[in-house]
Amino acid sequence: MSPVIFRSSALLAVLLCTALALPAFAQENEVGAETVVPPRPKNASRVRVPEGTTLPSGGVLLELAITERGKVQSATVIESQGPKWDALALERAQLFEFEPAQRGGVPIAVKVRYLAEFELEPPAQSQSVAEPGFPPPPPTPAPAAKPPEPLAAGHLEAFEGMTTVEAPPREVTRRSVDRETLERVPGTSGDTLRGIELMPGVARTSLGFGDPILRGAAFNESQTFLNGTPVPFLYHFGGLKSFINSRLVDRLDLYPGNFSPRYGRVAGGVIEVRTRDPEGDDFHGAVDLNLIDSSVYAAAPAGDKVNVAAAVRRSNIDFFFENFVPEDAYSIVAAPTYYDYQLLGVYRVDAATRLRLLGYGSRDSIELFFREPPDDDPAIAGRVEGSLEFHRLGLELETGRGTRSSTTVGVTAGRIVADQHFGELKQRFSGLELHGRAETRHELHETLNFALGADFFGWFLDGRYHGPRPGQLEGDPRNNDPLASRSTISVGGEERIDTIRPAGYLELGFRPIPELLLAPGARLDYFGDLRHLSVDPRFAVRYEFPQGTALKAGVGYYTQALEFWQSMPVVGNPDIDPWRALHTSAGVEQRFGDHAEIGVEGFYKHLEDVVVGTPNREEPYFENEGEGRIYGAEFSGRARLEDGFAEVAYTISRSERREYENRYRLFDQDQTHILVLAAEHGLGGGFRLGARYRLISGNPTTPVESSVYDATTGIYVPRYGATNSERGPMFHQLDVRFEKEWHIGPVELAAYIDVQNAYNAQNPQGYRYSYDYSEKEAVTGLPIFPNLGLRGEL
Amino acid sequence: MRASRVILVLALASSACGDPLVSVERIASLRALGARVEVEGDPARALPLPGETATVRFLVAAPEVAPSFGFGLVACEASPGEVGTPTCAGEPFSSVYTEPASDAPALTFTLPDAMAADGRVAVLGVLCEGEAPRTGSVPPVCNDGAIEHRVSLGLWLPGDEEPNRNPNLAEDAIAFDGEPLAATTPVEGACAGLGFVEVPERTNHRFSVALREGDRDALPAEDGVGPSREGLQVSHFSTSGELDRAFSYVSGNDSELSVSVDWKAPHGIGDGGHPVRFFFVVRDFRGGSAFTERSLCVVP
Repeated sequence: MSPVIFRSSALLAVLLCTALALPAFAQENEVGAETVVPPRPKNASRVRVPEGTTLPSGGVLLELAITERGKVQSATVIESQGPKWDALALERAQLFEFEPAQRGGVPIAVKVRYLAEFELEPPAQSQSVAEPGFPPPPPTPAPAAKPPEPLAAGHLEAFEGMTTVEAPPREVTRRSVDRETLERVPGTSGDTLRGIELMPGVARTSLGFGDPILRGAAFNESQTFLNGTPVPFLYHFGGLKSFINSRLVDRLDLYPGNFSPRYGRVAGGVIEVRTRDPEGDDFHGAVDLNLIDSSVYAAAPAGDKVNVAAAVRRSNIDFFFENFVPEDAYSIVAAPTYYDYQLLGVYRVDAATRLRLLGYGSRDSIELFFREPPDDDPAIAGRVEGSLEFHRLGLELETGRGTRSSTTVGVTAGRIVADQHFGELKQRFSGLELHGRAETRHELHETLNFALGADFFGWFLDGRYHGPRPGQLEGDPRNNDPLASRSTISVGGEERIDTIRPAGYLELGFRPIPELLLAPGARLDYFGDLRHLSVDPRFAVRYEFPQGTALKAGVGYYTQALEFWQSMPVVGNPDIDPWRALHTSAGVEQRFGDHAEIGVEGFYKHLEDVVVGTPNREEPYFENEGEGRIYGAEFSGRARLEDGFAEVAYTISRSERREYENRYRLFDQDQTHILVLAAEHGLGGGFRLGARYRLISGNPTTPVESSVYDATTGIYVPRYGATNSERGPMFHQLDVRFEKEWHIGPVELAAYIDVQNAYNAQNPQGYRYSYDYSEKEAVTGLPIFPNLGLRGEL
Repeated sequence: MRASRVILVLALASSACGDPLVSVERIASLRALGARVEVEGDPARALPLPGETATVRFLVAAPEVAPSFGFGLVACEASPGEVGTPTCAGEPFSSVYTEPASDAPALTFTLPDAMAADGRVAVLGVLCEGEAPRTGSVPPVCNDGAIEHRVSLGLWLPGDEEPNRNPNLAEDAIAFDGEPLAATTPVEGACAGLGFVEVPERTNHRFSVALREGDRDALPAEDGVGPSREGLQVSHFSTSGELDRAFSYVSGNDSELSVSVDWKAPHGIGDGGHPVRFFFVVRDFRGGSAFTERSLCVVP
């Protein structure tokens, strides 16, 4: 048995044992539900609709997750009465307040089932604004109407002791936005995941430049997870649309720093996308057609206990290139395309057990033809093509759902392919990937709970590479030098590249008093490709005052995994180690009822032993000789309006790095000021209007001071000044979204226009130079782009 | 996998590029266009071995036929590294600094016997318009205030592999509108009736550059990952008129060994005609190179 196979088998064994052992442990620790006092509704009432409306035959059965403060955290339809009535019930449920459930006199979070019923407005109420989807009734003078009566606690159906285990507070800062809000963020074309741009701590990235920049960390230092499994990239073409259909997304959580031991291998931040289990007895479908892409979504029951949902999307960009861009407009004929798909099946074994099957995949491809080599880089000639794709199938078993002992075990396997040709430069890496996660949570006592887990990351790749020697990923302006001026290397074709990284973690939640939560934890990572073991202790604390004020702080270590090629012989240095960052942060949150909240948080991060490239890309090519410091503050404000939202986020920060104890320089995408203002609201009559404005510092730039003619290649090679010693001008952009909805029977139709860069700001994204670098001019970003779309939903 | 994204992004970014700010194919000022190394006793070989002597000559072009410039050139063992232009790891083993003249910059050097057989030689230089370079400077520089043009050439010694050989541009390699265009002595001022091929102003024409199969050397196998044979870049420049591009490329796999480039004659020509010079450079990106010059006369 080779060492690689041994390590792989050992980890699988750990995962399997964890999965088998934990349910038994859970049963031993389960506490009876009879000690729990259910929540009591304070303001829940029947939903009123205009007089003359035909009421449904029954109510909409909802499952409400109620916090220990009696607020409705989420609502899910269990028994549907059709989209219109479901939406109305869900919207109204979000406004409900409860006397919180209690166990032993201590408020706890619970899940309950609630039957939302409907009644007609009395005549005097007919002047009120109609609910969406109902025609406004004519004003009719009438005596004052009796207000709706609050419902008794008995209206809560099927309480069923569904006490939710309060998980340890996984992180100091979790910023979550519900799907409905995310879909309405202007400038994102309704893409849920692009809604993270609303949140503080998220820097602006240009199209094509990768995943989000979180708290001054490079894009490869943050990771997006889907149901706990890392995904290779968040966006198609580095920023156009995310890889998953928004209708399958239940929740998006952003952890810009000080996150839970559940997450590892990154020293920046984490984005967790959680899918929404398809539920209900009816078929649901949706179609979205717009200039960027087209998508179809469908969900349906398959028997009493199984529901399935599927979605597929394909870009339309190539269609417009081929039909509307004249060939002589460019020296390049381009046909970029992407597609993604998801299939989710949920089997509800019993009230506390669910089995999920999730298949998903994505492919980006581009083919360019350079009829002539460009004058600034003659190495680019002929056919240039590339594709990135992954296809996965995962199985997840969740037991003890809604009890005090729950366990989740999941395994995802798939295939990943990266294939690029750039004239005679080429690379192709492909192979299998395997991801696993097993986690169990237990409440040992009302003051103490814990989560214990293990996860696994595995890539088993074959590949070949013939291209320029890669340098450090950030802070080296020579990465932008013409390809023709860079030495090429050739590797691969012989040995498989195995990247095997198992990990285990433990986190505790200890409440010595109800207001105070102490959350120590630790994560143990083994990096098989580097034979390196790391231990990351982490700690978070949170104190909640009764008036909606919360203080929070955290400190912890975070180890950053390396790109697989950084430790490959010939390309990189097999003797380097992962590096790590120390995260510290502290802040305060203030809630104003259920409808508004503000927060401020300061942070400082220190990066140690960062992997950097050797000065002239000489052997050993990469070393742990870098350092970094990132500090700043984030301010956020959020208001949930009756039919819309308003958000403000402001970040002030500085991210610096240095190599070989040189002077600190700015991080490539350091943005001192990031201000985002966004609002969206219904205008009545099915019309909706939203806007987002961004004002953000320009990225640092490195000046070109002179150039040298390179007779070997025939081009000029730039000579740079101090790295990132200059800064580009401020970025500012307004995005506007306008939508009109119609309800035709059970079908909801919408037409929308999502205008990016509404006033056509000419924001410089960088510079282009003359052949000898004696002249330069700014390259501006995307001009005004109105994305027209039609959406239909059943 | 991140690196692959970078390449994809490069492709996207490139698609947004338009024409360069200043036309690279137009010779509007003094500049170097190429360099050729010839090993003493075997001029077809582009890479000397330790202990051998070689001469490197730079092709310099300017709008004027005989521009005045001084130059400095040094040859040395290059510092380790594979990015940017090479630098000297120690003292040069050969150097030259000249007074302003119109001579093509050239330097003859002998590689030290002790140099590694797979080491790298750096040839660094500077062209100083109308002035001499600063004597003894390494890398060579001009005196303060002078207009300088830095040049470099990096040569990886062959080690155990076959030495790289220079491509060649035969006398009949350049064709103009399908007819061979012979080399002539360039002139300034009126050119009509002096034996140049004459073309009317504003007319469109085509140059062709014919390469030979032997110009592309075989490359080491390297696990079959890289190409098996050299590709050749052909660059073309003119002092007047409009060439439609500066670079053409013949890959190691191309069966077609001829490249063509269109040229539009300038206008506003006086009665005596206007001479236009053209420069053609072929290089293999490994130090092998060849270059040649042709002239035409544009008439009203």
